[in-house]
Amino acid sequence: MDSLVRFSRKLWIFVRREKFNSELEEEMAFHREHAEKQLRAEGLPAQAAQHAARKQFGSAMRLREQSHDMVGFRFESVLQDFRFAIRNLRKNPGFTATATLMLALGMCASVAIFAFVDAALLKPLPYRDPAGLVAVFEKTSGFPHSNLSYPDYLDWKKQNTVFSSLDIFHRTGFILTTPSGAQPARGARVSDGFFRTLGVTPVLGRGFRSRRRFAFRTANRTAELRHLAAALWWKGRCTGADRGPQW
Amino acid sequence: MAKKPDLLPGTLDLLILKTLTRAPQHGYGIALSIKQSSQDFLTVEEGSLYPALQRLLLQGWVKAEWKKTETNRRARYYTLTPTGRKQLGVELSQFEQMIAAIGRVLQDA
Repeated sequence: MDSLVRFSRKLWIFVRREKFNSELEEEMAFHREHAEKQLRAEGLPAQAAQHAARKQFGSAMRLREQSHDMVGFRFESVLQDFRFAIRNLRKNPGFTATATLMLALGMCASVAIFAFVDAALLKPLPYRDPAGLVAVFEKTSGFPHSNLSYPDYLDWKKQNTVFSSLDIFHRTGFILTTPSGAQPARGARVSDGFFRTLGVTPVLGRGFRSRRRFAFRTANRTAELRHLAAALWWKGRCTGADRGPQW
Repeated sequence: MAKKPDLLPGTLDLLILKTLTRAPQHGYGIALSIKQSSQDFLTVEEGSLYPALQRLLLQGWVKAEWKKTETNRRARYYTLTPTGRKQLGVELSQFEQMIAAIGRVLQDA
């Protein structure tokens, strides 16, 4: 309550600060005059009395500042400091340039690092339920993340009770025949439910039909696959990621 | 001019409030009154008087109004408010405790 009253008084002074300053000045002039008169009455010559009164009173400017400190708002002095800083910076362009450069470099570095961390660690993967995706591996002695054989995969899939679906992929590379000659393309062989498990749909065409394993063998499938691979690859090309199909 | 001892810190408010119990005064009058009452021992630096007065105004312990002096000049007169009077009591008892405590310490030594 008290502080509220004080605050409103301060606000009132701030609103009428012109008047406040002129009143303070008048008050101090009054004081100075009387002090001078007093000194003259004590027998000092007029000039000396004036001088002594001034000296005793101290710098009027400083006094005003002190009074202002008492009643002014913090932000006013902050504003003053800010202006002072700007003036000083303008006076020392060399320092300003160096400081600005340092700050800029520092910010760039932080932004770059954060962008990397954000993309790599913070942002969820672009799948339907990234938190629910896990990778499972075969484990052998001395090789904790080993490849899984296809029959083992079939067994895992049959006996799986914890995952809503289980699919496999195998990273590999292909040779792609293009009008400008053969080109390497990075890719992967995947099981039929792979895209459904990830929750993604192809850019072009459609995904594999379910419940049909060994899809690679049928001619029909091959055509479809080529279509799909090409679509993915072209997408990569168009977005500038010149690395063949990506997923 | 001989160097006068500084006021004990925190006593200026007390002196101003006490001075104002006698009659409303302008800043110069307060300084003069303190000087005379202390038989020229205490001089209030104007550099601390006016900031202190602003502080007291802000606390609401004194209020100020412009009036004519006997010589028909405009001057800002400070008057003690009821809260100021209460505050004077508080500061007085604090000051007495402080002096008593210092006295005890010095006696023991």
